[in-house]
Amino acid sequence: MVETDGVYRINSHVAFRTFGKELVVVDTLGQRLLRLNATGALVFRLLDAGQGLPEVAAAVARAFDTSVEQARIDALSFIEELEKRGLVERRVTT
Amino acid sequence: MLLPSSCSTFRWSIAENLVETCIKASHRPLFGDWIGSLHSYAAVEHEPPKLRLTIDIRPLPDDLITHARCDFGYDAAGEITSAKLIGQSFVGRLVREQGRWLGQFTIGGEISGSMENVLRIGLSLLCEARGDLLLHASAVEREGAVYVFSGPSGAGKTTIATELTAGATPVALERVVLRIRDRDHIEVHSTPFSDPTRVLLGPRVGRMARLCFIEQADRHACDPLAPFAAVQRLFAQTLVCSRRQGQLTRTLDAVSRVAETGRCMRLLFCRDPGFWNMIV
Repeated sequence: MVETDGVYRINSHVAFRTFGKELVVVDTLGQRLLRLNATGALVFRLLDAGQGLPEVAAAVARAFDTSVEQARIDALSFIEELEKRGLVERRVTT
Repeated sequence: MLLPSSCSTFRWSIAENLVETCIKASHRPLFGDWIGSLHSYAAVEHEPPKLRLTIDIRPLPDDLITHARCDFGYDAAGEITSAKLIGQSFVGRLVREQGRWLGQFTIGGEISGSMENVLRIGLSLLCEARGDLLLHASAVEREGAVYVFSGPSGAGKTTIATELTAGATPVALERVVLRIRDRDHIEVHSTPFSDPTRVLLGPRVGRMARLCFIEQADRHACDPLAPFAAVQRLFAQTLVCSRRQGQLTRTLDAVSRVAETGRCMRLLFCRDPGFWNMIV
């Protein structure tokens, strides 16, 4: 289970590039190529910038005109999926 | 082409990468015509080579692993430091030393195919370091522009470049190097791979007009590819060895820039040159 206030980082075997409003993500370990829509792209870029879940949820709520709580639920679900696929990992902070 | 029994050194260049290959042979092997192809790429250069390979031709042990494999060694930052290559007829290692790749290989069996594999992997490492793409594709030059045909083995790359050229000149049969100069200027560099009948005329560079991902069909059809679809196909046909984020990003950037040119097409073709009207 992902910690709700966790901070994540993109794994080093993953590269990504903006493609219009979307994001192309390459995972060389899993030899996969993914396309993220505008919402997924925003979350991914914020994680890459070192933002935690609260900041991500706030940004998604602002960008897509939804409540912070709903954005938090959606973002967490998406991050869990990214973690399952080995694209991000929770950063250990001391 | 006969080689001396001791050692023969070739210096050749592909896409501005100088490669030095020293071939040692304790007996006179059957080289096929591929060495002749390599000679046609020979370059007189004064700069040190980026890739230096020593290929030792001798019988391999009977118990050689039969499955081709390529194992890369990485440093803590994910940078490739070595590549161990094992194939049905060769075994060897590439090591990076002061920015250059050095390798030593023992080769037996079918010589030309083995050397191609060794050199192709070495070249792919150089391309990744430079942000070029080593693409599984053939290419032909027509009226000053280069048309690239990419696809998996058996898709018809060689057929198009040798039998369906409609008067165009073959540039490469199996691999091309793409170098992105800017959005409207992508250079196609030839390679000598897979040319047993010596169709190719030596090193050539030209500006890419179209990049067609080919599929054999019972009719001709050509459609432009959306950028993401082009990225998917380009990645599938480009050898990517690195796990380092910086290098991966550079490769992804190169792939994306090619995809965004609007020059990538999906080409269905049957065995006649009628498709040319659709892509020129």
